Amino acid sequence: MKSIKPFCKTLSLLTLALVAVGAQAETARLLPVADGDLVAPSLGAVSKAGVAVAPGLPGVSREAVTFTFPVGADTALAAAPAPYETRSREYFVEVSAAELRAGATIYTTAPNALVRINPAASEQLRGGAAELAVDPSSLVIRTAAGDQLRAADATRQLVDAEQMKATGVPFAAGTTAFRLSPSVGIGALTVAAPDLRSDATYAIHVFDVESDAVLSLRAAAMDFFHGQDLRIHAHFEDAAGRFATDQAQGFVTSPSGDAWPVRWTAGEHGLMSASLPLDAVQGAGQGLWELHMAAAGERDGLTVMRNATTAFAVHVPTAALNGDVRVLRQQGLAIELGVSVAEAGRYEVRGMIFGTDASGALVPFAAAHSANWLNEDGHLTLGVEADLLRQAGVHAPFEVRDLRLMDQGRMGVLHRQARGLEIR
Amino acid sequence: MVVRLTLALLLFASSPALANTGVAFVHGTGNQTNAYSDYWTGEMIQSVIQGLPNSSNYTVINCQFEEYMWTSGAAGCLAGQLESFINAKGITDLVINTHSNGGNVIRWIMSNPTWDSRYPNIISKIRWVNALAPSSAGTPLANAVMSGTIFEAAVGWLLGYQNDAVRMQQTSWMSYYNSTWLYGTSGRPALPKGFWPVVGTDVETSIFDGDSYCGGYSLNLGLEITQAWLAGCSDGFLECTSQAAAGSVWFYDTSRTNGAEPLSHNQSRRKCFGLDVILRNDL
Repeated sequence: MKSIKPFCKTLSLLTLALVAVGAQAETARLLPVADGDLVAPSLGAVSKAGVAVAPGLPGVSREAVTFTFPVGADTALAAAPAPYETRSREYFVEVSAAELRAGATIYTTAPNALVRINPAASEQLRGGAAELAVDPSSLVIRTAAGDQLRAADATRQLVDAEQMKATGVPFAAGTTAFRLSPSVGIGALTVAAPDLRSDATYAIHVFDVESDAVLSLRAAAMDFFHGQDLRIHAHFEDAAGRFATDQAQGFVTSPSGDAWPVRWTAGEHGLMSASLPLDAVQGAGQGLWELHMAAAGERDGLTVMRNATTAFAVHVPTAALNGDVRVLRQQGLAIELGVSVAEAGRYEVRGMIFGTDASGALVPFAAAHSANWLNEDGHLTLGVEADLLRQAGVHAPFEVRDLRLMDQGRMGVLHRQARGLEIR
Repeated sequence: MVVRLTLALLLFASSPALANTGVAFVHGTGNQTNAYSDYWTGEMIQSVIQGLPNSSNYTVINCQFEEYMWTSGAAGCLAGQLESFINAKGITDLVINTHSNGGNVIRWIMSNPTWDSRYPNIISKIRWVNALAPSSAGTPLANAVMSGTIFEAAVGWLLGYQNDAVRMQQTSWMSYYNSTWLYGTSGRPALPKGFWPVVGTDVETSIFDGDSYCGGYSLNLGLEITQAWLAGCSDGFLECTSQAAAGSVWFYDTSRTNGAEPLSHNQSRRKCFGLDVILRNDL
C-alpha cells in the first residue's frame, strides 16, 4: 500500500547557528577507519606531484545547500559496496567484408546460440552504417562437421535490420540477428555472406545463451584513487568448476577516452589476475572507467571465447575529512566536520544519523547532507532540526554512519566510513 | 476507497492549506522535444490528467536524456522544468510519473539534494514518484548494445558511438551508481519521497492476441531475439528485478491491468490495459 512519507528538511539557519555560538560546541574526533572503509591517501601526494586536477562539471553550483530528511528505523545499510561481478557468455570479433564473404568462424559450446552481425564501430562513426547491413536470409552456415546449410535451414529466428531497429533497443545501425537451429550443432561454425557487396568491417557477436561456460570478471573494489593499482580477477567456470584460460587480453578505458593495455597473469585454480597503475588526472572526465577483457579457453575439446566488461571509478584525492568535529546540540543537532582541501571545488558531506530510541536501541532516523564551494580548508555541517529529533523520539548517544565526503564537481567519492562518529 | 481516503487525510494533514495538486510526465532515454505526442501520446496524457482537480496542472518534460543523469541537460533540465511548473502553477503537491530511465534522473535529484539549490524545493513538493518500468539496476541489453562500440582511433585513444544514457544503463554502471550516488536500493538509504515502481512482467507477441498491438507495438521478431538477454520475467527491455530494484513496488502489471495483461516496455508509457486509469485514480 502506498503511503506518503513524513517530510522535514533542515534550514541553513541551523548550520549558521553553529558558527555563531561556536564557543559552546563540543569537540570530537572521527572514529578510526575500519576494513571496508574508503579513505583518500595523503592530499600532499597530489600537490607534490604537481598534477593539475581536471576541470569539474560545467555550471557547478557555488551555493551552500543543506538537506536532511527522515528515514525509517528499519533502514539497513550495507557496510561497504561489493564489487560488481560480470558474468559473460558472449564474445565478438571483427572481420572484414572479404572474410565474411568467404566465411568467418564462430565458436559455440551449446545449442541455440544467438548471433548478431553489424557494421563495426568504425563504420558506425563514419556514417551510413544502416546501408551496410547484411541480409540475414542470404547467409550460409557451415557446421563443425562441414555440412553447408542455407540460413532458412540453419536458423530458428532470422531478424533483419528493420525489425531489429523496430525493437527500440539501440543496437548498432545495420544490425541483423539470428538464432542458430539446434540442427547446426555446436563447436567451430562458419558464417558466410556470399552476396555481401561492401568493403566494410563487421562485428560478429555470439551469445552462447544456453552455455554454462562463463567468464567471470571482477575488480577488487569499486572505487580507486589516483596512483593506486587497479586489481582485477577473472576466471572461466562452468557447472563442473573453474577451467583454464588459454589466452587473455584486456585494456582499461577512462572517461577521457584514453586506453591502457592490461597484462594478465595466470594463477592457481584457473584464476587470472592483472593490475594497472591508475592515472586519474590523465583519465579524468564524466562517467566511469571500464575494463574490457577478451579471453579464450577450452572445455571438452571445444573452444570457449568470451568478452567481459566491468566498471569502476578512479578519484583524485582533492579533499579529505581532517578528523576534526564540533557538535552543537542547541535547536537540534549540528555536526561540523573539518575538511582539508587540496583543490578548490564543491564538496559535500553526507551521513546517516542514528539516535537512541526509547528502548535504548541505536536506530537510524535521518539522512543529512551539506554541500558548499570550498577554496581552502574549511568545514561542512550536517544538521538535524529539533522537530525531527522529537518526531523520531531519539536522544543521545548519536552516531553518524555511512559518512561520506563527495567531490560533486568531479564526481569523486573521497571518504566512506561505515561508522564515522559517536556523539555521547 | 479506504486507501485513497487514508492517503488524502495524510496529505491534508501534512499541508497547512488545501493542496494544489499537479502531475509531471518524465520520459525515458532519448532527447525529446515533443514528448507529449512522441513519447506518451496525447490520449495517455489526457486520460491521466482527468484525475486532477485542475486539469491544467500538468507538465510534460522534454529533456536530453541521452546524457548522463547528472548533467545539466538531464537532471538540470528536469529540475528547471519542474521548478518552472511548480512556480507557474503554485503546485504544492506534485505527483511525478516517470518512464524507464526517467526514473533514474528523478532519483538522481532526490538522492543528491545538495547538488543544486533548486533540488530541495522540488523534493519538498513531491508527493511521490510513480516509476513506470524504471531501469533502476540497468539492463543486460545495454551491456549487449555497448559490446564492440569502441575502437582504437590512434594508439591509446579510443572512440565510441553509443550515447551516455545507454552506457550508464549497463548493469555494472548502475551497480556503481546505486552504491554511491543514488538512494533507494537494497542496503542504501531510502529516498526522501516515495518511489513506486510499476513492473512490466512480459511481452506478448502473439499474432492471435489483439492486445499485443496496444500502444502501436505489434508482433516483432526482434523482440523475441532481445528476450534472450533477459530473465524470464521482463518487459522486453528490463528485467523485473531491475524495475523493482529501487523504492517499493507499487504493483506488478498483471495484478492491476485490465484482463491481467502484461505491459511491455513500450506499453507502460501508453494508454494500454487501463494503466491510464490507474494513474488517473492515483492523483
